[in-house]
Amino acid sequence: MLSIVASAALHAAPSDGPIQGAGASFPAPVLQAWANDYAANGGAKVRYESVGSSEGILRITVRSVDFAMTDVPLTQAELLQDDLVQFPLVLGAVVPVVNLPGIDAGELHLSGPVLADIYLGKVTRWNAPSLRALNPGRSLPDLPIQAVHRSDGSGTSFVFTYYLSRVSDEWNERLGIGSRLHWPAGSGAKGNEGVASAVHRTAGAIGYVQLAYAEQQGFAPVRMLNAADQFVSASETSVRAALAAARWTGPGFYEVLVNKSGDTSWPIVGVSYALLHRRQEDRGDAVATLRFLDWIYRHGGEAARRLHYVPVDGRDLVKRIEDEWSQVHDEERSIPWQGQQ
Amino acid sequence: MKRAAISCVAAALSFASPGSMAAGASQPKPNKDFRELIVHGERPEIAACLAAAIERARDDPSFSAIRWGDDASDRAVMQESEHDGKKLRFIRLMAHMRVRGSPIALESWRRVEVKCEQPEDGAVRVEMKAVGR
Repeated sequence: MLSIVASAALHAAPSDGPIQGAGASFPAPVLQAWANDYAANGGAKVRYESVGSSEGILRITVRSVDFAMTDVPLTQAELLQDDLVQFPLVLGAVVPVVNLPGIDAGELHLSGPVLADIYLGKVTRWNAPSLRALNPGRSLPDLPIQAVHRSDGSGTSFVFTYYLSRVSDEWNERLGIGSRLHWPAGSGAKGNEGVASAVHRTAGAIGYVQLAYAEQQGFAPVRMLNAADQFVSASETSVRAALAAARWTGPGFYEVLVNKSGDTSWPIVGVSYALLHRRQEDRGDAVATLRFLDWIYRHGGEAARRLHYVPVDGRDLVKRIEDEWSQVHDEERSIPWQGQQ
Repeated sequence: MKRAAISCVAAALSFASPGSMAAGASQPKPNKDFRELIVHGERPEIAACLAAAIERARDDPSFSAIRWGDDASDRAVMQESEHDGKKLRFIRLMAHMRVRGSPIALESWRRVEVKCEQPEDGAVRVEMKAVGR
């Protein structure tokens, strides 16, 4: 049996064309960095389009890409509908970003319930009593709050509203969790890029983006009250503290890491999942895609950390993920990847 | 109304008894409507519920079609809880069902609330209840 697998690996030629991926904007900066590093190290060319999780799921469904990325994890029932395999590739903090003149890094404190009230349209000015109570001794401007949300189908919105549903009964009952919602207040922008830009150009605006986008735009970091009643900043350490609660035992490694316990846990952590078809039509493309993904687990950690992401690097977890890849096959047999050789 | 391909699905509907989900197979199975809903740009996290509602509606003697408005899916409320380490998803939204046998020129539609219960490793269970005329 071993000799059959080895033989198959040697004869599975990768495709000549670029590996095509599309989906979540949340992991787009690190995917671009990985694509560059992979090509620089002799790997295939990878093209990733940042179009949002919903569009990524659509594109993998119609097989116009080799892999999709989504921050909306699919359940087993959903994965079975289109014969998909799902596994986590990278994690990161979803952070509130604000454009508040006179507020420096770490000065603004927010809590989940107040954040929910802002997005519900109930807290409308920056010097509202609930915000002043969280920020004693700080002078908050008398500015209207302009809440910015995602206008496209978004995994970042899914994770953000998952958090709001955990910390606000009113949010959970009225709006719930969604990649797209009928938002009661504010304005929409497309992609993490669009939200960051909209907040950057509007005094009094607040939005939510992956930490890399906040750093790129130079937003002053906000401290959030976590489930242990501690104010924390987003960092690799605080994301890893939340990650400690993950079990990864559900079908498709389904996990949503919001409002987790732990004194240092960041309360809103997004997991970016890769989606692949179990049954592949082009053996060469499938081999190339799996080799790229395997390379990410083995060599992508440094780029991820540089860009304020947290790599999936637990040895046991990566082994379980790559064991799942044995289900990927073409019409004839399973498809081996570099790590199997 | 959007998603013509979906809203025109000839479907039938049976109403579950209040407070209980309709019994169904416990294991998920492929449903061609799911793929179509995704391709039409439906929210992925509620697409399995919508597909299950369409399937469930097909055999009902009282109704012949299901449709929903442009903003119904954005207004759909999804909640998720965890029991014994397993996640359970609840979805509710408003839709309309066409009364079977009503003349084409005088179509009669009933407003219904669709409720889905979706375990992380099992099939979607769906309940549809009339909420007025």
